Amino acid sequence: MNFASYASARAATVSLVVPRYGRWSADVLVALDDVVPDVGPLVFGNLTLQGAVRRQALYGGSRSLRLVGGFNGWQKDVPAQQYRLSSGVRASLLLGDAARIVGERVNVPSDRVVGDTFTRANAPAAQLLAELAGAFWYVDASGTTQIADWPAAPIRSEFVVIDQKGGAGVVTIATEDYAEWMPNKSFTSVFTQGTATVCGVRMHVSADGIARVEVLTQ
Amino acid sequence: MTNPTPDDRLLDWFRKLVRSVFPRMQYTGVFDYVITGVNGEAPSFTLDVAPADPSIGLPSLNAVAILASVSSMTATPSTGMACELVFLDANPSKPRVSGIEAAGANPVARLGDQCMSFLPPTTQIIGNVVIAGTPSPFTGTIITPNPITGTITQGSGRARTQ
Repeated sequence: MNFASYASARAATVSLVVPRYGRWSADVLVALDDVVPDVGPLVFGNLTLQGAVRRQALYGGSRSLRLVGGFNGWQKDVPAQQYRLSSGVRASLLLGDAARIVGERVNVPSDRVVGDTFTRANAPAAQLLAELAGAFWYVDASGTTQIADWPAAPIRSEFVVIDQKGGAGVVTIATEDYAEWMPNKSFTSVFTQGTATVCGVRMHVSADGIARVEVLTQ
Repeated sequence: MTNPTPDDRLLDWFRKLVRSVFPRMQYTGVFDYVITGVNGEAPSFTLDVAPADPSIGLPSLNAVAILASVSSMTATPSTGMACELVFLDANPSKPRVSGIEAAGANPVARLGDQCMSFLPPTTQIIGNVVIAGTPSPFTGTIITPNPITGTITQGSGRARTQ
């Protein structure tokens, strides 16, 4: 079992960014000459994220990949279309249709009527996402785009704060539970003041096998 | 500097960034559409419209309400006429036809407006006049004081205004 991999290909280095809003992205170097699948799981310790290849290139016997959360669809165009429903056009209908067209999955926990008509422009599906969800969306571990904020909860697993850059709002931690360090989680420690909320995470695995987790706080 | 293209990564990123912050930018402005259908009765028309230039990236729209003008004037549209389409608040849920191509150059008058009529300045008259029980024929000329003024007392429901 590899500590870090993409689609079962061992990753020599990983630089993963999970923002508070939007989809995660990762730069991954796999020691593999073969072409990796366009869609697959990114594994980082006990964290598994469904992702897709945004860009890749072979160089010097290694393949470097830019992965994004989900299925790499939101930047694809959707055709122009009018929706009209006397009972009201719901955001879930609009987003569900767009997701199907571009090959993404979406979940709208708090649905709403946007009007009795809606004019979808011929534009990247991400534009529709921004119109209907604003900033409040993220891509969960299964690759589904959730039209909501990350679940709020305290960090319960063990961790150690090994560095803090107060000016930059970055806390470096050591942990074995990478999956728990997701945005909107909160934590306290004897080395930091008060309760901090995770506003974004950067996870790295360097070529020497050392993993590092940097937590962006407010 | 060359024109922006999707292959220009830096500019493409910038465009995506701007559009993510202003997702309604594509709905701002006034769009050139053509009427493809007229629904309902005056004054509650709705229109089916299609973009005059399909490359604007907006679809054909059905049952679009007509926005009353500043004077609350509405007009009778017909298929094939050009119209202007806007989105109120740049909201894709609020398309409105804001203007319709003028069907003619003549001004219109409203119910209650003053009006003037011009009659022939003189009118010949032929008749009989009865004097002491005896009719006597006569001829003459009536001189009309022009113009004759009045108010409009009837109108058509095809156009309404305040």
